[in-house]
Amino acid sequence: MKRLSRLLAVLVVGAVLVLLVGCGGQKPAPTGSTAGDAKQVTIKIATHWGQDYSVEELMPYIEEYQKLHSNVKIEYEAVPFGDYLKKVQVSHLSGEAPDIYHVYSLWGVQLSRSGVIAEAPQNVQDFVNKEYVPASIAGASFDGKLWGIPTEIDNYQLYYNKKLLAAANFKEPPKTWEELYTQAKAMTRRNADGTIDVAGISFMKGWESAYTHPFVALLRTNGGEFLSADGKKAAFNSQAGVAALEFEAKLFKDKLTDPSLDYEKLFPADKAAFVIMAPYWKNGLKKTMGDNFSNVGIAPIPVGKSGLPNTTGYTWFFTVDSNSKVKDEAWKFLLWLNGAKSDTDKNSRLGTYLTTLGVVPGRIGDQQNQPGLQDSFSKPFVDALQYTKPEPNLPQGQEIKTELARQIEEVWYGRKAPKAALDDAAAKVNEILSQQ
Amino acid sequence: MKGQRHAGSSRFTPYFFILPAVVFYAIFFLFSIGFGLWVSFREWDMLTPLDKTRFVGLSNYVYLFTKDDLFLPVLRNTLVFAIGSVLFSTAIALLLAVALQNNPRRGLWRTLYFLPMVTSVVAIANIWRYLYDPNFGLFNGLLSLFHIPGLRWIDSTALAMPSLIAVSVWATIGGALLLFAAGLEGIPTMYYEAARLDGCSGWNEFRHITLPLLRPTLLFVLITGFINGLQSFALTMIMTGGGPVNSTRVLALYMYETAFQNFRMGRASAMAFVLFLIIFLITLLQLRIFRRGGVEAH
Amino acid sequence: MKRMSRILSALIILVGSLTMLIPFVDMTIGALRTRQESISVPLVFWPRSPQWQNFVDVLHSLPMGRLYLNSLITAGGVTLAVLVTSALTGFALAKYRFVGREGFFRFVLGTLMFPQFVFLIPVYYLMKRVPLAGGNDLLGIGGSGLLHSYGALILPFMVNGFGIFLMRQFIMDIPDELIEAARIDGCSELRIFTHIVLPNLKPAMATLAIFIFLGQWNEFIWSMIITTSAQKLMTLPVGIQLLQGQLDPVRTDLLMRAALSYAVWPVIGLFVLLQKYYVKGMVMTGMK
Repeated sequence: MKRLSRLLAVLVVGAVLVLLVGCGGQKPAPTGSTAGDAKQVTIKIATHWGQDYSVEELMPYIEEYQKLHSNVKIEYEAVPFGDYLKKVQVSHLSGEAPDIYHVYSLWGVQLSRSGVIAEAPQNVQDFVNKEYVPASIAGASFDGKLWGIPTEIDNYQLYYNKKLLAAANFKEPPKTWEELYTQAKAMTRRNADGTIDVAGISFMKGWESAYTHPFVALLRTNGGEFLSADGKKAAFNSQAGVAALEFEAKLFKDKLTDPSLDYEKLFPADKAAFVIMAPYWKNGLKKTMGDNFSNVGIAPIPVGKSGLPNTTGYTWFFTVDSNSKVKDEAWKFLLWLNGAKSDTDKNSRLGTYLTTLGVVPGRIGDQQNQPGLQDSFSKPFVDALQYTKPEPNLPQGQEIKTELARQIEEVWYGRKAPKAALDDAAAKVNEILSQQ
Repeated sequence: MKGQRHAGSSRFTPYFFILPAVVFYAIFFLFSIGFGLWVSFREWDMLTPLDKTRFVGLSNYVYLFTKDDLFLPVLRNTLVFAIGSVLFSTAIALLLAVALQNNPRRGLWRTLYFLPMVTSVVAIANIWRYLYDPNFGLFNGLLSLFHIPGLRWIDSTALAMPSLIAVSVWATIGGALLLFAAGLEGIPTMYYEAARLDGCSGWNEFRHITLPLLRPTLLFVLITGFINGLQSFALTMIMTGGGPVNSTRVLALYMYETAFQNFRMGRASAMAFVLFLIIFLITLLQLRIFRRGGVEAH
Repeated sequence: MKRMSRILSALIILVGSLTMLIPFVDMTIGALRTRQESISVPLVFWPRSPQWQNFVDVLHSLPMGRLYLNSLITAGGVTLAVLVTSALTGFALAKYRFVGREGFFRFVLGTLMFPQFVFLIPVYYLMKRVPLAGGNDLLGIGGSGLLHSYGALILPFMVNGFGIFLMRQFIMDIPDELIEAARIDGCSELRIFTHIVLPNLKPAMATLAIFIFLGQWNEFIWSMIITTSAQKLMTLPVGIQLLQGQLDPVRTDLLMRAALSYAVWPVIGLFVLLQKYYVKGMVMTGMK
């Protein structure tokens, strides 16, 4: 009996320790307790904008709103970009999902399909339909419904190095694929051992969009499209698509570029003449290049057979958790943050923040009025929005793009012919689409 | 006399001692395996509430072996990585242990070789990523001193896997070395003396005396090596992300991507159980091979 | 002949030590380069003037102190728990005969063969549903359980199959006579455990402690999951990998190398100091 009671004692002590250890936890913030006239609410918002994204420029707006609405408390959490999706998934399991998400559109598609987010309320839809470019509205829509308020829209253009072009006697950036090839070839410099010293062109790599987005941009200027008109089958393995991938393959085969190159390090160091990229690199380049940043030129994607300017892009949007207890308040805050500052100031607060980040807001008022978007870097991106169609919002979108990305990679490494690669990708993509 | 009842003990004493472990395993382990197995028979994107998920029977498993073009290559990568890194690591460690046997400062050398084992895999992966950098890394820098063109260590489909294996060997050699060194010390010198009297030496000595007596240690090193090697995840994720072109995608990484990037938790769970089966079978295989004609270690 | 083998031996050792040390040295020397030197071709190995500033800057990007503290608490907690549970369980498996003993032992070894992935989501659920923790009621509903506390980082690792295995092996070596003598003297089983077994286990406990501590210190996957719901619990490996996501790759590399240096050298230093115990323990394991 003595032994038993001692064992019991140990168990009790153990349990107490566990409880003490567990007391780091917090009860969920109270919502709905009255304070004066209005209900006290707490809105939790999570985005990937943290220290690295000058989030201190966003904070004043959050404080401003809390001052204007004394019953509202906003808890802001910055989640590292690579972890954001995981955070959404995991926080759902723990029932601690934030109220407001800022999601990449393809993530948004998954959220909408699983019921995590609901269609945006009517007043939000009216706001978005009135004030945003069609490409942004399309980016936040899926299944014929609008799911949130678009934020940044990232379309692709051709970054070029003005110094390198001038040194090679090119007065203007290339307008066609042939010109792109000629210029890239002229500017490529090799070391004695054959490795590339200055690359004519450097491609993004690493994650699925890095491979697929530039390819789709080229594909579109060649008259092709990613999906068939009904959205049910892959169309990127058309003749136009094969030609686009063959063009990329030629750049690699003729050693104007190499899969091992790191565009992020080479371009700012004047070691790559061209990169097909989106506008979010603006601030990073400014920091890395310093004064040399004035050397960066932006031009439309060189056109293929269609002869028409084209490109692709992707979008992000704000949305609210469908189970949020503070839905109305959350949307109200988002409308305030994303709407015009006043009757006279057509810029929005979020648009101002996005502009300081170097990205392009999807809101028309900001595109026309933000001084930060008028410089020679951002203006081409804004102008290109006229003909930008975002990537299609597909279920299992990332999975689909990953299939295509792997095949593109095979072609870059010379392991597969472009046609075979695209056909294989199309077969896989069609299979995934048919299951949806 | 063991377990005989007397004052202060009962037939249930041992059960009390193992109680904490049993409770732990019941809660954490059995629940997790049960849950994982249940999920593997369903389609789940981790966002939909579990009660609304669809039951799909064995189709996740069937898909892996029939429609998933990546699964078998990934399995192959996993086995190649595990076998490569365990075999090289074990062989080199064994040779080192023998070479260091009579070295007066072997304690120092053993410590040196053990350093990677006290370093986190995150650190190791990043350190070696820098070494392997095709343009700015130390290795290609050294090669260029001799006017040899740099190699694409982790940027070519041919070299990426061997380069990864090399890192894994580097990281695990210390542990095996220590175990072998200890095992060698446990061999009574009289065996060697007797062998020398019979005219046996060098390689023969190694084959007929050292190796057989090291059998239990060898078995332990191999089994634990494979269990860890087959589950390798962070190293690949950080160094190559599975590339180039899937050449280094191992099962643990593929599982993780399938769940968290492709929203297919059901299929990922199925993969996890397949991996368990592989680990289990390989462990059994090793035990069988080593039991043939040997003294059972435990 | 003997000289040849000695030269060979020396060569192996020299090559070996270089191979072991160079990666660590490169890691730290690289942190002292300037931006230009980092991306210069051909490689500039030794920086012209060491940029110690990088070591200061990284402290602004990462809360090093907090990361170290979290890792320390987690690793320490797990080590204590594993020592206790392994010794208790190992004792029963080594010195008692009871129904289910071999089966349980094999079960314990079997648990080591399951991929960690299988446990991530279910254990996360369990941590959320711990009754009476973090605002939960008796059924474990309503609050956040242990998810915002160190408990989430420690509890799932409290029992370790390898530790049980190790303790069983070492305890088997303790002479039965010692235990029988104590029994005859009227000692209770618990007393036998604390007064006979434990004192004889000191070297084994030291080895296991260091092994478990290092393993937990470097644990990455589970910490990563917990960090997504509680950033204040971030441990050292997770924090370091976080630096990767930053936008300026050249600067990131420099900061990363500095962060790695902070994370790696103290542990190596500690290990070198304690290696006497560790090595001895591993040696004894090898002999079994």
